[in-house]
Amino acid sequence: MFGNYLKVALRNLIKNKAYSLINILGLALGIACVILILLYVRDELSYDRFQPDNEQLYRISRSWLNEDGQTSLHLARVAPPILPLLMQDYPNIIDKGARVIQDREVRLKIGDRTFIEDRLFWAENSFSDIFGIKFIQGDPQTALSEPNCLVLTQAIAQKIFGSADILGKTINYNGELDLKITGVVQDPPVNSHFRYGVLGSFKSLIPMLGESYFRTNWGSNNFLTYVKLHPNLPGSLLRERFPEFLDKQLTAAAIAAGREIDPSGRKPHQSNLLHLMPVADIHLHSHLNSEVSANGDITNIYLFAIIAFFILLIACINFMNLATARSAKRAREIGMRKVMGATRGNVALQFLGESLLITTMAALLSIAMVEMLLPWFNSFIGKELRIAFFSDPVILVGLLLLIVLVALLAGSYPAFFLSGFRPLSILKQNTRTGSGGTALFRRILVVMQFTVSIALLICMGVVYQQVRFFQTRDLGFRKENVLLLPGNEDLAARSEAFKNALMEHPAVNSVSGARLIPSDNLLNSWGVQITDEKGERIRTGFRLAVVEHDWDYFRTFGLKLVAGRGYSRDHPADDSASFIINETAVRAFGWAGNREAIGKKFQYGPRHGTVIGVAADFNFESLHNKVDPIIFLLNQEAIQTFAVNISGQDLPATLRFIEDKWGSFVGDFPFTYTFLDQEWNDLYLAEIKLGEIFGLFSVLAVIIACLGLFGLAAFAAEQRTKEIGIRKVMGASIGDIVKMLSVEFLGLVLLANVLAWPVAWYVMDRWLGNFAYRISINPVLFVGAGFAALLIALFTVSYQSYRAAIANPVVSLRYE
Amino acid sequence: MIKTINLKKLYITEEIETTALNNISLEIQQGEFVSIMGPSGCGKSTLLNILGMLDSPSAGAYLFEGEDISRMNERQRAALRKKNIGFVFQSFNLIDELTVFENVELPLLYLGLSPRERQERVEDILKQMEIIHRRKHYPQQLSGGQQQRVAVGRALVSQPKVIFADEPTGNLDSAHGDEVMRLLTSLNKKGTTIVMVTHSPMYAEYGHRTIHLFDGQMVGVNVQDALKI
Repeated sequence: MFGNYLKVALRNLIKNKAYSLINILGLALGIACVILILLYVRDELSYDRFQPDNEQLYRISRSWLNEDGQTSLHLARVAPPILPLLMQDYPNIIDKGARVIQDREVRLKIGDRTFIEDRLFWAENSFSDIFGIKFIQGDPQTALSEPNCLVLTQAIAQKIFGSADILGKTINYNGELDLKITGVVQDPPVNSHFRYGVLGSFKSLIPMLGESYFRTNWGSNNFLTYVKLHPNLPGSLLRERFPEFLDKQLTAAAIAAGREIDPSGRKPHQSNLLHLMPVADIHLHSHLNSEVSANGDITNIYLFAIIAFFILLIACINFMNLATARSAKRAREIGMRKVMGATRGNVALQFLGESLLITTMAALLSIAMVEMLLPWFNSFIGKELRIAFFSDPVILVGLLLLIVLVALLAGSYPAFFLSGFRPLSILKQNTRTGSGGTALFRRILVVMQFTVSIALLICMGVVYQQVRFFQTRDLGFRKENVLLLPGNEDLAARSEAFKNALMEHPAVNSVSGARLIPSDNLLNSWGVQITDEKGERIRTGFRLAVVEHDWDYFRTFGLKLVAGRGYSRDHPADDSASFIINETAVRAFGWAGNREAIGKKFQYGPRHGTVIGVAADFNFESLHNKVDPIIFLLNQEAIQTFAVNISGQDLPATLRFIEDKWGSFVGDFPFTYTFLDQEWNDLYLAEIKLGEIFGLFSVLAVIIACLGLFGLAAFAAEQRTKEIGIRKVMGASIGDIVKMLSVEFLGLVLLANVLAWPVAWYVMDRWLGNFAYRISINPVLFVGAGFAALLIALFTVSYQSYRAAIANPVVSLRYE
Repeated sequence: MIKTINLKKLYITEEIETTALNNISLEIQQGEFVSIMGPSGCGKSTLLNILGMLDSPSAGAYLFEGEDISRMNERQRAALRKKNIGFVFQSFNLIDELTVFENVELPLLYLGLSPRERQERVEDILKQMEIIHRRKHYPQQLSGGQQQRVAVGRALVSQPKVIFADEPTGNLDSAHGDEVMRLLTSLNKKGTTIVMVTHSPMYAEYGHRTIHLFDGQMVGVNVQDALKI
């Protein structure tokens, strides 16, 4: 019996090649999409689950609150005293802990070769144990226990030495220290939030920073801090101790330092908080400032899963639609089978089997598609996913499940529908299937397909417009033709000489050194104290972020002042007693206006000063964020980046000149540069990517939906062959016929528009809510997407209609 | 073998109620060849379909070998049908995707016979129908008469007790029509009960008696040859 089913199914597939092709191709596209998306989702969900006992592994982060209880800043890194104090206070909860601090743009020198390493982390010895780091060379217990030790990953060892057999060799760090290599470890897994290149022993830092720094500095929140709790203890146990811990330890720290405790009476835990997050959650759920690497987003996982489901649904709908539309062709067979004693169950099973056969063929095709698309998909999502269809049991079982699922989803309705045929009515009359209930069902399905496609098209458009808005908005500073060079202590000390050297070139307009440049995060801030008329000192209840820079910052970035004056070399006191704040800060202080702010005195951190100027508000951070209160401080010692404002004429020559000067100042430090507008664009990579993803999948959805529509239109035309013949004999023109056949489908697409618009509007309005600066949704987009869908559908349908319309009526009438 | 008592069939649509059959009481013995005649729309095919268990009556009783069919559900009727009944239709109703051999084999698949037995029985029937040389052809490649011979073969292959033929000659020219009628007669002579609906008085006379229907009522029975019973 099975053989008979298979025979009939295969012969039907071969006989109706176009139909089979549409079905298999559509399903294969859908399945390939789902496989790719599931690969991506699986990879994202696998992050940081490889550590031993990862459910006991947590990261501590710290946030600061304004007076009104709003979070003003949440950092993924905390101050160095926190971990040892926690371990001392709660030994029954915390089993192990490790602090790690990142060192960027480190010069590693071996012989006469210098390497720049951005992923050097100074880590406590327990780090390798907590994260289960696998050593290829060296002793995991002791590799990081002594000062001046270095552990390299295999990849870095290979890059620097060309081999892993390097124990005992030394590497010079920044020209300051000789570090001994005590271990080589496997590269951290790709699916880890924390990808180190080189690990240095934590104790090497003590001579550099001083021993007391690690005990008393509560302001240097630069330490990634991980704890492992004792087995089976929940994180909440430690979490609920944090407020009492902060109250106790911060009060003790203030007393020890002779600082006064907050005069407003706020307890320490009311102005800052500690947080505990499972390490396995970091990649998808943590979006703090100062994350160790850019994380994924659980929203995208949901989004991808939903899109995958919809694309599969669209492909399945094609299958259902075409199968029921074609039912007339199979009706006689079903009737005869029933006459000969087949039950409804027999027939349903037969058609489910056919659906399984087609799905299996589609799945095989989709495997080929995935193999072909994977490299491209990888570069698209920036990952290195691999797939082994037949050796990875998860994938193999997953694929089989997917096939069964799709076969059931796509095949159940046709099986149910076809098996319900009454043999009698089929065999006696020429049944007009495709009328009444089924035709309505098919219409509903087509509307669904196009609703999804149109909604995706609109989403793509909105994301694209928001990205365009980001890229073209006037930010209030100059971002074109600003070259950025990394600074270092050495260069910072000679910054004026370096700047003067660069200024010799006519294309260089100005040069400025600074700790932060626009597009950076405003992570740093100090406390503000105002002295009122009675001489009482008042703490302000808001965070005033600080940007430290040299004399030429405003000129280089083209920043504007709305009151007062800028920093000037004519006023030597500017680098010790003058402040420039932005308009938002003026409002935050509650001063009447920008002019009124000039001459106001307050204390910022250790510096007592007077406001000499108010800068026009501009978007220092990305447009995801509002403009925060900012203070601009003159501080020549804080230079981490040099910004060079150039005319842009003869760029290669200018770059050659700058490289030349660079070489003469810093010698072996390799010349690297970026442009500010490029850095700024990089802030929106996530949105650009999202737009591309919507674009990709909406195009796919439209293609699959059109495949289905194409098939459906063909059958509609076929079913009405006789009617078309008669109409033509009666004098209908080709145009009349095309119109008659197309109008119905176009109505469906119009209806789909009506359904898709509110859905897309709702979803996109919520998405835009993520941004401090957003576009208002443009109705033209909706009309455009609808019109595009309509046009594509019209083109698809009218081809079939035209073919039916030009047929000779004599032939079609004789045919019945 | 077949007995109906006051069979009634109503077709009810939203607006009108049509009586297709009214108080049909008849009895058909094992081995009989009965023709049913009447003008278009008189209910011939409805009666045949009810007798063939493809349709159920609205009222009345239908006993097949003493069992009341009107109380059975579809599954039970399907089981009874595949064991006892063969059908021949005016429009052949062969499955285009199956060869001659496979079409005839189909009922045996539903009976669950072994491949060897199926092969033997199908070849046997195809020889009887004198169409064995066409066994690998598809229906579209055959003439109308050949197609109907395949259809008759398919009806016979399960060795049913009764064959219901609904205008088996309707789509055939007279030569092919005669051929099919000779086939049915010879089957009847071998003991198969045959009930045939026809328009043609000439072909009706191949039967032992003819039941005349008009507007859903039995209006008379002609006995062609009482001796044949």
